[in-house]
Amino acid sequence: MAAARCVPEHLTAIADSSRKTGDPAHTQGLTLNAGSSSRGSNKRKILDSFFPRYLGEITIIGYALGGLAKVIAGETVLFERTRPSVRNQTGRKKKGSSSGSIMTGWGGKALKENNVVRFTKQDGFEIGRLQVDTARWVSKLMDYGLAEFQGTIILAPTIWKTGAEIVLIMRCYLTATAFASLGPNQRLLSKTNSPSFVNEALETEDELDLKHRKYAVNTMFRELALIPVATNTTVGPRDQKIEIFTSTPEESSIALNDENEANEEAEVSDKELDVLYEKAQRYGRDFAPMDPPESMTYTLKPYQREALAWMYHKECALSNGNQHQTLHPLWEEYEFKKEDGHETKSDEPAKYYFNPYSSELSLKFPTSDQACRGGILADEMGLGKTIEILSLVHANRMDKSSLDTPEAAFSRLTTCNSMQRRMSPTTLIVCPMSLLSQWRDEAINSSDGSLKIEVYYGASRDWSDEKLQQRDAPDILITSYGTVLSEYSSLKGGQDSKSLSSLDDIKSQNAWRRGSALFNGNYVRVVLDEAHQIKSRMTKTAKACYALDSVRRWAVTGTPIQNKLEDLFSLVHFLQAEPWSNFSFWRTFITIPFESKNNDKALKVVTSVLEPLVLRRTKNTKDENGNSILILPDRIIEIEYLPFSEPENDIYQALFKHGKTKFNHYCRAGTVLKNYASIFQLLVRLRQVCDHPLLVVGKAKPTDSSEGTLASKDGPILLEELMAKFSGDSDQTEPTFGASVMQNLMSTSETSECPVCFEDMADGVLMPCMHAVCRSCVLDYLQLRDNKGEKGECPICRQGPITEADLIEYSTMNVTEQKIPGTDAECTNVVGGNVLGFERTKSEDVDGKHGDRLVQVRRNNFKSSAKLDALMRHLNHVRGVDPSTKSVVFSQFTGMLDLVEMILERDDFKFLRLDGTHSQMNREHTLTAFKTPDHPATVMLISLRAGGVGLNLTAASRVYMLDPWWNYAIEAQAIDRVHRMGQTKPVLVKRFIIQNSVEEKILSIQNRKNALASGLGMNKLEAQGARMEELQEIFS
Amino acid sequence: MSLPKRIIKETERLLADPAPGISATSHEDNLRYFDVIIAGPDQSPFEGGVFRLELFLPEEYPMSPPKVRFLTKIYHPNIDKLGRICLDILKDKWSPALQIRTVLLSIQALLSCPNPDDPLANDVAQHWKDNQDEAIETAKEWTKQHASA
Repeated sequence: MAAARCVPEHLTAIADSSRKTGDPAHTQGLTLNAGSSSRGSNKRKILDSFFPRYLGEITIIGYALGGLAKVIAGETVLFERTRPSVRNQTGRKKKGSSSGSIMTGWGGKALKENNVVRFTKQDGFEIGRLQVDTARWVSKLMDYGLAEFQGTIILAPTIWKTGAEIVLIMRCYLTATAFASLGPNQRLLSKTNSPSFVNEALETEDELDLKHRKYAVNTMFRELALIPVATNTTVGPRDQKIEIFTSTPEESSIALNDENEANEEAEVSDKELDVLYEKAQRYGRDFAPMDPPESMTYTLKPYQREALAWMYHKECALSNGNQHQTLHPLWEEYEFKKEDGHETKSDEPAKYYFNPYSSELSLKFPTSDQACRGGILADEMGLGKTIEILSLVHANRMDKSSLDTPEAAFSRLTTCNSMQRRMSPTTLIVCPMSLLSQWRDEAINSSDGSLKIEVYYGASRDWSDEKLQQRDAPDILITSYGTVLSEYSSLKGGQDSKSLSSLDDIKSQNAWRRGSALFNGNYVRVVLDEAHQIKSRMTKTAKACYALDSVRRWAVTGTPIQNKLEDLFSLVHFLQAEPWSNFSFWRTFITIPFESKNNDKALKVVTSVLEPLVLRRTKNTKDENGNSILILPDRIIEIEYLPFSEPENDIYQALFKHGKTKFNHYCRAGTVLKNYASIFQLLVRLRQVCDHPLLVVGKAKPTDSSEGTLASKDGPILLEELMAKFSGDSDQTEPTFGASVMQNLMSTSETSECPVCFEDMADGVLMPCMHAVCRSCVLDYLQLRDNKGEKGECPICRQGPITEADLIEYSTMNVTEQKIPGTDAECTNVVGGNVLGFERTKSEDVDGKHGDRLVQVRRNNFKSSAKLDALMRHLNHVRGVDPSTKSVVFSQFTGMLDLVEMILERDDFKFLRLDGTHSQMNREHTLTAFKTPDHPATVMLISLRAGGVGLNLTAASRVYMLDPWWNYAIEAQAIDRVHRMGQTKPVLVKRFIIQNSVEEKILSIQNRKNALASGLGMNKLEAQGARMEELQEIFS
Repeated sequence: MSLPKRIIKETERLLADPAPGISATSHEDNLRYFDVIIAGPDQSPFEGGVFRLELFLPEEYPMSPPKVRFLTKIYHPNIDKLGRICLDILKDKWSPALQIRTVLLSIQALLSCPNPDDPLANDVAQHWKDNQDEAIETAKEWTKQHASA
């Protein structure tokens, strides 16, 4: 595979014409630089005769000087610079050495730049000078040594005097220098500089040089009226009036500064995103689906085999002929014109390529298939990106035996830049901490044992530097972003930030990598899972990931673009997909057009960037036969509106009035935004009450008298009183239930008899000790004891003390065959949270032999809430229909999850829980347990924020969202943890919303673009306005 | 006033499935009034004796305990001359979950295990404490004398 990756960036391609046609060029341009000219006299000769190469001619006007020399029409003249500037043909100055003259020459007004171009007779005798506007670009071309010029006098003035006009034809020739590739310092400007500067508008001298060069070359092409014979159709013919390139450098410099002031970047709308992804979706079909090798134990779905083929070809792009020869979108193809009287040799290149955005010239065909070996695997969540990546690892493995003969292996497999270091056979997978175990398990399961898989995390990191280069190195090494970051920080801790950010520096001096097994490895492949974690290129995590060394780089994410186009940049930069990985390129060609509302164009370019780099399929993507590539069971999301109970409503209204008063006060004082945090806290409290009033108990302690006393229509009521009324005065201890009693209740098919009245237990209640008695009997008994001044106790076992509040209602029912396909009939009869809803099915029919017996228990006066009731109603119903059904309950409040735990215990549900407080080990354990079919737990409680990313919860088929989040996308992502590949059952999602509460308003806000949460940064007037609107809506 | 279903059921069950050594039948004219016979438990001083008791279910039953009394004379530290029984479940430890059957079984058990530490008949209890063998002998004699069928 891919052995020829490291074609040195030299001239071999020109000399070897067979390669020139057969090999898709992966280098930007023909690279010809001073160093390479010493390579082989043969090549040298060809090039000597080839350059300077005729480009075209134009008619220009000069003016005569002094009248000392007479010229006649037809006479050949030479052009030269009056006073060559500091930077001339002798080559590019090293960075920093000439910054003074440049800055004053171009940037400052003090010193007028020298643009003068003279033309002379053959013997050097000066005839005259070019007009200023011509001289401006000609002088640059001459200074940079990019072009040479020859002139012929067309029309000489009849009266020869100073300033007389002379009409000339100027023939332009490109020099070999022009075809030299820009050095890394120029091409990768942003890599070396931008990230480390606070102000990106600051231009380095290199950037200035590049700008001048761009200006000069572009102007020449325009003046010569050169028309490309081919451009990339995606981008379309270049708009000749792209201001940024053809205006003079001074002007464009100002324009750039303006752009920088508007630093806020426009967000990408959903519709635009669709357009972006459309292209990426079509791609990938061009390769025949590929089966993984036998070492992979999984069978791939057809679309996954396509993905494997695509990725395999991306990695082996060089060794694999002209599969996909599209012209690079930034490049244009030109044909060399024939100069009169010159013969063209057949082996000379007939075409050349010009990149107007960098002013690079090339003789080689620049494909859009970049040097980058890898790409962005952006399949929608649930399509099995993990498995696709693993199949690639299986399919494209480095032969470890080659490690024995390092030299041979090196020449094939190392990159030019890291020649000093040994190749590691390891695929490094970087993922969020919560996914470590999932990756490991999948990797182990996918393999027949021939892969060695290790996790590099936490304490188990005591590795030698060389471990990854040895024969026993793991094939797959899984680590977390946090680990990458911390190793990177500790390695780079002593170095200044500038060198830290400079990838080139890093590459040239790999010494720093010693001391970290992670960074010392030159991996066969690096995979970033959930790669949007590095979407911000300035973060240390992103920089750490850039510094991971590998030839093959993959970014795996379901959302390559989260908000801004620049999110994508960081991924492209990680991939080193040049030239897009250059921030200047990106900015000029994508960000700026996009910001200036030239969206169509920017989007078109992005699609052409994406096309070869990104593979994205969604759940709705169709295969060539028009069938969905992935048939997931249905997903039904229903919003269930619940009313508050009366005490809940009292509390809510009290809090709401309180909040509203406060908000109105802030409004009048104009200090809403100042008090944003406090308002936000109020909102949180309101939302918590919607879940369960207990969540705010204790948090509402009055800090001053006015805050504690809440006005209600009945006069002032202390919030605490309301709470007390709600929560009752009994202690909170929840006894555990005897599962055996429950089983008895489940197994007896007869309605049981009350031990007190000997009647059938119509409304039986359970003591905490699980003894069952009629409600009225036990109440009489408790009353009796109370009259006698005795504490209540269980009439059967005397366990006590018992109060009425401890009693648990239960009722039994025979669930007959009620399995309703697809939908849940329950929702029709229990909507509105009527607790009696399920008692409808309570069995009078003792011989209902078809159904399972279901025992429904409910705490008498349990400090439940509308939502808990609704949740339990659903869970109990589902348990009745199919006890093996597993459910996931999401809430953003861990306090709410605590309450759910209590109520689940009460009803004897076995459950698991996952929230932010769990260690990695715990999470792993929990997730594995939930997946195990025999595990008794049927309910998983997850805090919305702990469970948002990556988890695989397909064992469940029911999802309950206890509370809405500001941004629906977060909820959707949580739901997709269940409704993803591997899900075999229809997924039913219930979103509980309290009627007439803040939650309903959140729902309506969810449907709008600016979510409160996204505007927390508070730096934009618009966002502030939007937030004000939202707040006013909430407190209306 | 009608008879609670519980009492009817208890009566039926006592007839249909009597506890060993215990019989209880209600009077036809007063279904709350039961004639009870308990056989003296084996290995106890009351072995071989047949003891008659009366049992009455008050209006509040089962919230209140039944009233039970020995009609047959018995020499027992927890039963007095009038036949009143010192048994916690017939007093403060009553629970509505208890039934006639359980009460009578408890009484039967009490015959097996006299408890002189919680006496009702003080003289008998004292006798039991001072000279248990002699007291048991007396109890056997009383049984022979009063409780022979």
